[in-house]
Amino acid sequence: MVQLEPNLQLVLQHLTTCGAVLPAEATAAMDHSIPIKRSEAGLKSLVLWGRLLAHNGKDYLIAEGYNNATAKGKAVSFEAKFYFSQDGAKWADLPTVDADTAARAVKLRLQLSGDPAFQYTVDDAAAGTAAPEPAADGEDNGKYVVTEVQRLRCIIDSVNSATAVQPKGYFIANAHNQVVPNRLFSGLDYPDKLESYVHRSAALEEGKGGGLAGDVRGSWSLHYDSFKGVAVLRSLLFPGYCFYYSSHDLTWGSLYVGDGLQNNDLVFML
Amino acid sequence: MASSSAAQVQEALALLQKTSSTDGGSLYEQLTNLIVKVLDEKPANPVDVLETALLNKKAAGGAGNTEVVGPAASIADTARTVAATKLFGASDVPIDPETGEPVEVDTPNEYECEDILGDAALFDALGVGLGRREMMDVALAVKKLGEDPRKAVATVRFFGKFFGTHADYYVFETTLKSPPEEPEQQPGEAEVPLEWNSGSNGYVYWVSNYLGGPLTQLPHVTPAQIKAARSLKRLLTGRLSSAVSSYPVFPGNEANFLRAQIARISCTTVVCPAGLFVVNEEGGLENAEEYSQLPAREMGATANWSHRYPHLKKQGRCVVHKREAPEGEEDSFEWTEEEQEEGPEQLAALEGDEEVGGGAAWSPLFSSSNEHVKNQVAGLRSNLWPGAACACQGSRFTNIYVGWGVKNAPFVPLPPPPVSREYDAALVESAELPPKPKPEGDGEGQDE
Repeated sequence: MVQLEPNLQLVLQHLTTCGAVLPAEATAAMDHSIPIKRSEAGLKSLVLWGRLLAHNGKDYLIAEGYNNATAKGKAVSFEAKFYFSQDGAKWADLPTVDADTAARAVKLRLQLSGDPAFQYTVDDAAAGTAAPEPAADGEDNGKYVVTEVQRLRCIIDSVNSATAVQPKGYFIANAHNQVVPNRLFSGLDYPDKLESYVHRSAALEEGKGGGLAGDVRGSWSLHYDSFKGVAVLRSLLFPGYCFYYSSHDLTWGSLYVGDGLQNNDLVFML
Repeated sequence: MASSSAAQVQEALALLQKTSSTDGGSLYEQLTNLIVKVLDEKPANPVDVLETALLNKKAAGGAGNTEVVGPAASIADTARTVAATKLFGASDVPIDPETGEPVEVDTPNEYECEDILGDAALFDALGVGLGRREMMDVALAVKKLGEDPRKAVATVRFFGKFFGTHADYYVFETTLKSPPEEPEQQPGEAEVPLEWNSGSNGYVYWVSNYLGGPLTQLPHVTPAQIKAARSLKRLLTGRLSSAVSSYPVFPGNEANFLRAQIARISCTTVVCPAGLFVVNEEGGLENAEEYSQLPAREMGATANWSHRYPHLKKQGRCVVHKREAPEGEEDSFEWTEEEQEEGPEQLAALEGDEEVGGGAAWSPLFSSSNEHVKNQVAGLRSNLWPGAACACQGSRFTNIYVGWGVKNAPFVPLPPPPVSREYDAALVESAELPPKPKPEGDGEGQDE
């Protein structure tokens, strides 16, 4: 019997020991608001992705949902939709951002402000010819505005590109080229090895690069409790991302609790 | 007719049973396995699993092969869970096997500690720290440490948890009933002496890799270690004997490094409600006589909290060590900049903390997004040491640190030291002849 979607209570049970904690009120509110949002948005699955810490204390809870995932050859595209909430009760949309804005948002190294209407100005002197969002004074002087909502989406995309861990063999492509959970998943043979875990975007690739073992060496901290059969992965590149896999009841899940910034000093810290 | 249809059936079966040279199985075998598997597992909509079951090599690899045998449970991991179990329940009275009577155990030590489960509820409301489930283990681990008569601690507090790449550290902060005496100072030492049983070493820290595990006492921290730790940004590995850094050289191993980080974190982020304590004549803290509790939400303001532990100076000590002027030079002797540092006063309010990354050093936390909910919990989260937090509700307040032990400050690796000069004088070719060797005896002074 295989889980179809990570269960928030199980995720919290396994990952609070890694510091992935949520306020009690928000956890209670999400029990009701996530099913409501899921049916409003018509999604097959909606789970809590994580919590992005904000400077004024009003942290953003992020939910990730998808309807279907398609496979083109070995490439998996999930068409995930993201929503954010500051109280756990009302969820707002996080639309996709274009590549230019994403490149600018990566330059911001401040913590999120906590005000969804906040606007950051980024100096982007080496910009292209057409500026989609020039600064308020109308001059194309290389200063661009990035809104907090856009920045949230960029942070989520950058964390997902480096994490989004799945157990190998959990997702499988069916005859319609849809990526679905494998109902006959029987567990990982080697849960104590990084090769057993893959990034979601590379979920279907077999034997190439060995899953997470192909990432920069030392950017993952894996701890496997062989007695309880629980593996806990922690990312050192994006500290705050944790993933668990339990071989006893074949459940897994992940959560990100942090400020969303990449740890650029990792090479000095190991 | 019957024989030809029987022959056709035989032919069909033979075709199905033809083994493949690449895969090693036959179609007959795969279909049989699949049918057995579906009948075993009884999935809803069996036809939907047709494609996935055939594509999945595990399913095709044998009908009864549904269970995966993972790595065997190691003794260390089993022992860890058993140790955690031993935290719970009434302690067994050991029985002497020869006499059959209970062996006398030392009486448990008397100690003081906070209400850890109550504090856990505060942190759970704010969304910081470890979850309530784990704090239950923590509370029992604190009890086990406090009761140990060999350690003889007077007070115990759970400091927090440090994450490591291979294992984590649970840190407990204690004061000893009979702290060891200071060894005699050797006169004329060049190094700044460490503070013995006061200031940065006012508390003794114990660590273990897992709750219920054996506790190791961390050594006192020296000012040199604190200064070296300030120039490093390292992750802990989880093993106290690990080497820390080869450049800049850290004087010690991971146990010393962890102790230095604990000193930096505790001096910066352990806080108490403003006005709760006052400084008494000896420089220590005592309860103020008049302390009025503020309404719950106001404890989210930095003005209402103050630093509890003394400030750690640049020298690496809380109380600056000023060298004595050597005899005869008292007039011209000056103290270095480090020795003249005064630092903030004791119980300084958090408002005065420097900005971090363009914003305040502390972010407020509240248990509810609605202001008007009653009996709220309020607290602060440190932006300088991510993972440090404090919480307050009514008369109860508490601190915790759960993190990697890394400061949120721009890190610049220490540049290599300047190239040392080999010669005092500049290398200039001399125009003079080399000095003649002095004649010492017969036949010497030639071309040796």
